[in-house]
Amino acid sequence: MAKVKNRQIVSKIAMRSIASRKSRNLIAVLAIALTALLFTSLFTIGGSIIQKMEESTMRQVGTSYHAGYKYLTWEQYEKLQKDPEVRDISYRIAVASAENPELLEVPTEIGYYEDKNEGHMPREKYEITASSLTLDALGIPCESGQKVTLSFTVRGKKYQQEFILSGWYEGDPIMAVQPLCVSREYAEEVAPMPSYSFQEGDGSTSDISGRLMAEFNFRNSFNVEGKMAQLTARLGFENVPDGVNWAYMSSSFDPQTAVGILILLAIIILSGYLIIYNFFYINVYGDIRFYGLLKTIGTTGRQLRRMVRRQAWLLSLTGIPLGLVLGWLAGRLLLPQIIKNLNLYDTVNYDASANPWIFAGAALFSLLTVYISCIRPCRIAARVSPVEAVRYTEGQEKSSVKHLKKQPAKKVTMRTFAVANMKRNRKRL
Amino acid sequence: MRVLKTTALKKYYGSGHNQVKALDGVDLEVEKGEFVAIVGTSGSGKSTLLHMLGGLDYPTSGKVEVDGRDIFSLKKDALCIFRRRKIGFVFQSYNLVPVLIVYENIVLPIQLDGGNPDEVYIQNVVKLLGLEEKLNNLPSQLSSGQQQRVAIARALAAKPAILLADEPTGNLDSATSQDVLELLKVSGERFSQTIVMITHNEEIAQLADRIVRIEDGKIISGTRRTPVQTLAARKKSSGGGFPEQKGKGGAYYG
Repeated sequence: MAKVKNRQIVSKIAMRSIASRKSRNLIAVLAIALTALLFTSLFTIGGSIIQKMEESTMRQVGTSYHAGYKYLTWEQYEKLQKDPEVRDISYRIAVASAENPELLEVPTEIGYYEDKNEGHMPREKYEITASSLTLDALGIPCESGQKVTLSFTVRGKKYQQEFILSGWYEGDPIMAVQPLCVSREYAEEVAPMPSYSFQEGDGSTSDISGRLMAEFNFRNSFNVEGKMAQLTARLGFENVPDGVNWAYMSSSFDPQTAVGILILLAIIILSGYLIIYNFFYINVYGDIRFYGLLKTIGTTGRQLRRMVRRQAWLLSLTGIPLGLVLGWLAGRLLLPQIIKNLNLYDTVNYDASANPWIFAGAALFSLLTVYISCIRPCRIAARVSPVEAVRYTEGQEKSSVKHLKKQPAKKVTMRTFAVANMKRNRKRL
Repeated sequence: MRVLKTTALKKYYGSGHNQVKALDGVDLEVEKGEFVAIVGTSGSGKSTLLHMLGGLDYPTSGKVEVDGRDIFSLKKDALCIFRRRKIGFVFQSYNLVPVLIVYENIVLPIQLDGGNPDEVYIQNVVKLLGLEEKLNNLPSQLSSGQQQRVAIARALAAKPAILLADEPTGNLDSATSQDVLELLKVSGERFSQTIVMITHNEEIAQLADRIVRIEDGKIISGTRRTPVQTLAARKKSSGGGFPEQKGKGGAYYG
């Protein structure tokens, strides 16, 4: 109980002291806000770029799923589906690649896609949904009802089939392949599931029609390769062709960039520390009489330390949120420039990520910087000799000669320096 | 009962021919309830002595015992705690915490300890010092005389073994000085508080029960303490210390 009470009084004094020093506080708050701003901009820009690189890769790959297996039988698919580590699984029935000569530059894959649930998915047997890029290449306008003729080969048998366009979507130019959806009925008729598994067949690419391509996610995107290896072992899928989405592969995270980021972090911490530490240092010397007085009436060093730290936290309470907001805005402003400079895979949007982790991380690092900046000033306050307060007031009354005689040389130098520093500070105020 | 004792107290600054002997072997004893004035000129060492007595500064050699405890054998934090429980201070100026109101200033040492203030006792002190109206004011709203009274109240509030006052009226004009000193003396008698006050003013010193003179770091008179019986007798004869009965002041002390 005693401990709680004496903490309360220390807090009370700290809070009231802060409240009474508006102009001094402003500088501290700005210094802290600046640090938070730097961290937030760094994380916003960094985080956004990483996100965009991932997205960009995913678009190239054509999917956001973590991994997939190819050419499965229904039996294999069900086994995969039941695995506890596998989530969000979906399949596609591969039919063939479109062989229209116009599509030489626009690779188009024909299949039935289970996971696409948007509006105009093919329902009738001869309906299809295609990419605008495919349609443009074929010279067909993007309107429902248009007739589309596709040529393709299934297991050696050539097909030329006329379809009706039931829907279309905006094709992504950086995707490796443009999907073209046929109805399930058609897919199963033209490319039925073979009775033997891919492993039992000759393993050639002509044996893929009718087989299932499964895509799925793990619980999270960490170490996707490792999880995939374990899954393959669990399912006994050693001979099943698989793939891990290279957007998630850890090897795509460049060690050079990581070092660069760490250096930037260190620089920000250092500059933040220098500004904030300097400020607290001057502040403590400004209040040294006050702390000396408190010591004479029995405040322990630890209590004084707590008082200084409490003041620092109170200032951070205003400074950090301010810095977070300003930092995010700054990040947003700078992001487009940086993306252009990095020549990033034709990403179209310049939206900055507002991921809460950015703010949490920036706040954490800022608090860390404030804490480090406090350490020495706290120690100074704790170590103040109670005679400081008394001597200071005495010196005003008695002769300066006596005053100098009694002071050990070191103390005079430090205080003169601090006072001079403070005066300089006031001018800036 | 002996409340304070110093033995061969020395405080030297510097070394060689630059050495300053602020205190050069001081032996002093103070009984409970005494009001002692330490008198000396500028540079005589009286402030240094007070700092030693209060545990604010460390001596070069020698011992200070308060309430039987050798205060310099205590560790820093322990000394701090001892100080706030056993020693009350009144300085010449800048005594009060500017951001706390009068009442909070008075109970501050107690709260720093995490203890509970004796409200009845504090009310008595406040009444005696004429501060009831000012309890919710900030120090900046008080006159210097009133501020010193608050300082005295604070020093008394924790019921310390000894109250140390360093030129408490140094910054006050003569009328206010008179009031404050009377109050100090009266509080000491009323609450059986031991007081050690330093001053360079002879007139002020006369108010005390005993005058100790110090010069060049040595006590030159007054070490021999007043026999306890004489002290008690003197107090009895002056009627237990109530100001009206002493014929001083009047309307001020209600």
